[in-house]
Amino acid sequence: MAGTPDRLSSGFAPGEAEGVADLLARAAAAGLPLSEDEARGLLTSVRRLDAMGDEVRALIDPAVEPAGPAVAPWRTPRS
Amino acid sequence: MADPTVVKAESLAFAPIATAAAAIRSGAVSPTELTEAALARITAVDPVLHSFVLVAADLARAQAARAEEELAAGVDRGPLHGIPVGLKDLYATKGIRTTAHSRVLIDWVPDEDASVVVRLREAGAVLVGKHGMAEFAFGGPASDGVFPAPRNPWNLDHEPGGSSSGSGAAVAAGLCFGALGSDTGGSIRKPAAHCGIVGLKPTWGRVSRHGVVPLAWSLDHAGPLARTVDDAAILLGTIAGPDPLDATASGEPVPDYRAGLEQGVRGLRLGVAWDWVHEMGTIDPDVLAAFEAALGVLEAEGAETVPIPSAALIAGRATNTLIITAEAYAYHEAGLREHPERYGRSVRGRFRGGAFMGAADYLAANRARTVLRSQVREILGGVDAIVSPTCARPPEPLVGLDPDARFREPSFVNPYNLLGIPAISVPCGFSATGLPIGLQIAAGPFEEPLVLRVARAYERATPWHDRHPALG
Repeated sequence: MAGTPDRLSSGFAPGEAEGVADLLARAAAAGLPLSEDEARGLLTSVRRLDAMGDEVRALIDPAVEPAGPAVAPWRTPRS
Repeated sequence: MADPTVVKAESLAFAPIATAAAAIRSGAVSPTELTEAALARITAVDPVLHSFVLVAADLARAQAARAEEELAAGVDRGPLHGIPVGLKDLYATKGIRTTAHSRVLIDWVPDEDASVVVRLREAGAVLVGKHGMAEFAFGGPASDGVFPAPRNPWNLDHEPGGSSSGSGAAVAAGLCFGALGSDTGGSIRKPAAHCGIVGLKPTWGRVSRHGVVPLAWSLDHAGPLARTVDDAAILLGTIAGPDPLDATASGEPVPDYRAGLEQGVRGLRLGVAWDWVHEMGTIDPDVLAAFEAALGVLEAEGAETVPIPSAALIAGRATNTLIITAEAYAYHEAGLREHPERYGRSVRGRFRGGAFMGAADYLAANRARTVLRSQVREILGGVDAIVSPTCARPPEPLVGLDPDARFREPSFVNPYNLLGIPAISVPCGFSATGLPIGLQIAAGPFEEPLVLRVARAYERATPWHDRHPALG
């Protein structure tokens, strides 16, 4: 059952069962069908995305984006 | 004995567009003959190359006949008039199945053309078919695809690069004179590099994306794959410009992209981000040697190469990955909920990653994008263009290839999607195993004439574009 690692299959690495259970819970909340095997396969990717989230937050500098993020490359101070 | 007109058309299979166009106007070959030669070559070669998922033979013949009639009547639509071209199978084509190489869209027959398809048609181009690709333009070759994965014409056991894989393979193999691909994280430039041809990702908004199946709206670019820089300039000049159907298409005037191609690089400053080139120590020695040799060629042509900071370009990868993942999931959310089994295993997993990102993650990535853009703009204030290898390694064997692995590796291409600035890949040599290597040139917003000019200067000084794979 989503969110309860003790109900998952056995054979998980340390910390993996909790991660898979968390993904299953979040997938269920999002209405996304996801099997235990699929969640297990996704875990590394999701953790990598989480790490990337930390990485990009470290880049943010409010001084260069006073009006918030801009998408179009020509919408820059140079133009 | 062979029909002499067919032989003539076949001999043009690898000709530049301008050469084929001149042959049409001189009467040496007709659009119909050129088209029949392309269709015959597709029939002969594509059963092993898998570069097309649909061959539009009837349409091509009709368009070629119309081009012939118009030219005979004195109506000349320009260099693409009567020239066979292909489209990545994510461009909507009226009355012609458009699948994005996915079971999700396997029955979709659009009732209108993408805006750039209209422009190609108005330029008199002949559409010979739709090219195979990575499913929904996200990733590499997959064994569970709805169509076979395209192969590399230089070695059929190797990948052609993606996601515009079929377009790269078809153009390199002489099955059409050019193609339109799409590029969200390198998907035009990587197949260009791996197939030994030219691929240009223009400035974001330079080319309309109306009618192009999206991957990630703020990173998607439409652009050409071609065998020469001049061919890429012709194709870009045809498809660039504002579009009332695409609010993100820029109104910036479209210059004549062919006009300055021969100006050379004398006096230009070309930046090299060496820490980026060597990031994680994964660059292949043959690629590094080809890149260093290419710098030598550009210096011999009069350019100055100067070191530039790497941090912003390295940081671009994570930022780009987060934005792709979030936007792609947003587009596919309903499909992943309702019929996940229609997606291939690899792309389904990659799309699903977006379900576990928050809105704040996405916005943080966009805030970081603004910072990185500012940093790269500063770098471009000191150099005219940035040069790098296009890919860190030559094409890999298809057997054992992990399509997800490259998303965990350094990228020389995806920062330019994030930044929205133009970047081109031009052939710059071959590996010891005979597989192509690409040189990438990037510059500021709307500096397509400059990246084309540098690419042409390099092309003019080297023989790589004259080599073609031995197929058929």
